[in-house]
Amino acid sequence: MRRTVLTMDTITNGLITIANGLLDLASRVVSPITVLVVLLVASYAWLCLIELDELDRQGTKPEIGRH
Amino acid sequence: MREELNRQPGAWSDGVPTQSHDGKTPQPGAEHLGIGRYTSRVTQAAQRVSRLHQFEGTRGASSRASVVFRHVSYVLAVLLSAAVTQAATAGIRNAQGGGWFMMLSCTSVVTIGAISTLFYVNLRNQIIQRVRHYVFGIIAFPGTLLSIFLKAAQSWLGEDTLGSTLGAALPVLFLATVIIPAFVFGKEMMGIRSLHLSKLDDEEAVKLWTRQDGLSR
Repeated sequence: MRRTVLTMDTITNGLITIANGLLDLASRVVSPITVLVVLLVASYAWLCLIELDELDRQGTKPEIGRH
Repeated sequence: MREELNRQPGAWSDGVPTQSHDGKTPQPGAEHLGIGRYTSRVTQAAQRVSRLHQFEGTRGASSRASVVFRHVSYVLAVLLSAAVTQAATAGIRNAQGGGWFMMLSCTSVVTIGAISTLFYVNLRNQIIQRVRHYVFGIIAFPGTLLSIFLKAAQSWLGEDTLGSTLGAALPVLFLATVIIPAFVFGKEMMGIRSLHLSKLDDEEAVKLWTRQDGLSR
């Protein structure tokens, strides 16, 4: 029988190992407090972007339509 | 020459760009047709930096940096308050895990506020002010003070009637300070569009406005 470098078993085992690693990482990293901190940081980052946008608007002249 | 300058797109007599030519805002009326001037994100960023450098200088950069640092300090202040509260409420009956609840409450308020700015764009500055008021004026700092007071009160609250009553009442006060404002904020955001609208009809409003509502009428 001709041997190949990768058999389906090797690929499957590799994928299972990667999936197990990801799940293990998620179970170690994701906790309620982590989710809360990430949400807090993301929300404040969005509010910060809004304030920066307001500063940008203040730095430009208003567009007044011709009438 | 001056006339020609004024006719160039985006150039006022002092050269300050208008909002539709700052490389960020699409030309009015053209964005949905796909015929507006195409600027890549790299070009937009370069134009922003160039405009900042030309017209605002160091002050523009520092004012933007202060906004970023202020928001970083907001996050750190919330985390610090929650940590202090968590430590202060440890072992106190009916108030254990207060820092966790403070974190939950502050995150709820900030997240609801951030989502609300997507729906009520014209009220976004007001929403940011309300978020700041709720998080630091109602929840985080008063809650931390209250938790420290709870911790201190444990040493002198006895087992008599007054002591046990106060010991049961103070955690309720903590609940009212930390948990309930998040719900109130949610309700406020849902009704913010109509919150400050006058419920007067036209006749009443005009009477008030023209000061014809008094006894002299």
